[in-house]
Amino acid sequence: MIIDQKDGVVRVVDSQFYKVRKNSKVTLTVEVGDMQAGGTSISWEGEVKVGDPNFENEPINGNRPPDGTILNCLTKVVDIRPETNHTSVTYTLAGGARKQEFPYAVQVLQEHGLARYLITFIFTLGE
Amino acid sequence: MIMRRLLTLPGLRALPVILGLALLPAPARAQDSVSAPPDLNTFRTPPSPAFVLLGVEPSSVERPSTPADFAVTVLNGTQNFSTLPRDFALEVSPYWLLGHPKQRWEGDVHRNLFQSVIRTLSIAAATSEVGTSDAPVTGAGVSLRTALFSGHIVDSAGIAELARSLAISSGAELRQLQKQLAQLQAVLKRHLAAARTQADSTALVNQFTLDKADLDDKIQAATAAKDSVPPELSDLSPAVLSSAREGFFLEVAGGAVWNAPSAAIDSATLGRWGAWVTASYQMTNLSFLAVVRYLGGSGLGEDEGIDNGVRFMYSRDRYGLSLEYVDRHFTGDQNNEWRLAGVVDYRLNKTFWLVGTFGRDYAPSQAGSLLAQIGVSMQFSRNRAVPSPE
Repeated sequence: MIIDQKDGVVRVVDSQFYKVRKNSKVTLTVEVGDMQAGGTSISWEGEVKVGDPNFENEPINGNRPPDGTILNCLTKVVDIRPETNHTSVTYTLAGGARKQEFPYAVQVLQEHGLARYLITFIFTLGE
Repeated sequence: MIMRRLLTLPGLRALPVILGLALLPAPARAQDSVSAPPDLNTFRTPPSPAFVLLGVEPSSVERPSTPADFAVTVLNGTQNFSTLPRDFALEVSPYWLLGHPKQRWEGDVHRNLFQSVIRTLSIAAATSEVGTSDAPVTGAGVSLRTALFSGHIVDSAGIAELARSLAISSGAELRQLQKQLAQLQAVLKRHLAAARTQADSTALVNQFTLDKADLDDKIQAATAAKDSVPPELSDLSPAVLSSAREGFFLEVAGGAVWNAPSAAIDSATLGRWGAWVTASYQMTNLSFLAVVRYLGGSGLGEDEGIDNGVRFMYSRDRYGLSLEYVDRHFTGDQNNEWRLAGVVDYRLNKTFWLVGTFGRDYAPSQAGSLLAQIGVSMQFSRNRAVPSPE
């Protein structure tokens, strides 16, 4: 995982494996925590979807086999809490070998700071 | 019209009319007195009661934001718990020390009693030298402050709109990134298919992460706006950016100060203590405030007793009205006092405000107890004589 900042924007970059079966119907849920404001977009096999503003049990692969495919997620979070500079995003993948949560958290550098989470999930066959 | 009405009131025919430039006044006296009795704002629940009781305004206050920061702050201040900290000020909100990854902003629009108490609870502690060089005394104050009721978020729609804007802009960035990321992904898939061990696969994915970050850097640098403010944050109201709240608030606080001669804990005795209750109802243009404060203990002299007051405020863009009543009951021999003040301000243009203050100060027999002032103020800051409800 890479955590860095540029021009006051904090960035989290990571890639994770998610085990699926041949006929898995994978779904994604994205939660922006710490009572901050955030929105997400995803891309799977070149197709980009914009969240409303995030995703809840969003089908990813439909009827197409997920094995060997890659899901990219980009979440942008703005600090709207005077009490804290904590931001967090939890990505939950379900429908594969098992349901799995991928939590990320980072502090922005100043009030009303922006954090970008660029996370990739690689679907591989497994149990 | 206000002037005509005032001049007909008995006792006010000699009302001085002051025209000229003045700084924005709080409700003021016709003549300033040397020791100014406090107005309602000074009775409100203070952000850090411990500092108020100790009589300090620390230039530097430690505000740790994580449990590790808190531990380091305490260890440094007490020199690993070996001594009472000197000239030390600390304020901490326990709830916000920890992250809350499962708490969405929608869940904070309305709060129940428990949620309000834990999310607004703050603890303050401070030490200060309150004695003399011949008789040093270390004062140590501790206080708690919380809100039993803390209203609701003012602009939920604005926050929802901000979240949607962030989603849309993330979509645009991802489209930019996806075009070149597809090549990296194709290489990764090929290599993963040929990888023999989990360690090889992990190394490939780590390299992919680095390459992805570099690609993102290049695209961000190429598309960065000249203005450092992200477009999603421009033109946002302060209410959205600070999750501002309105409605009914009930804040309570309490604190105490101990005095330790020569910083010896065994000789510490209870000095001052205080309790505050502030109830308010805040809407866009109208607010109501009621305050009760009790101060007790040694060293307060004439100030020991119960203070209570109410204030109504109504403000629009061009004018504001405020009426305030404060009542003071002393436990000593001093006579009880009361104060009634009204402030009217009216915007003449973008820069100048007409401000009038009328009323009666605490000691009616003393010079300056008549509050009567009309002036023209030039606005250099956002603070008005009759502020918009907070």
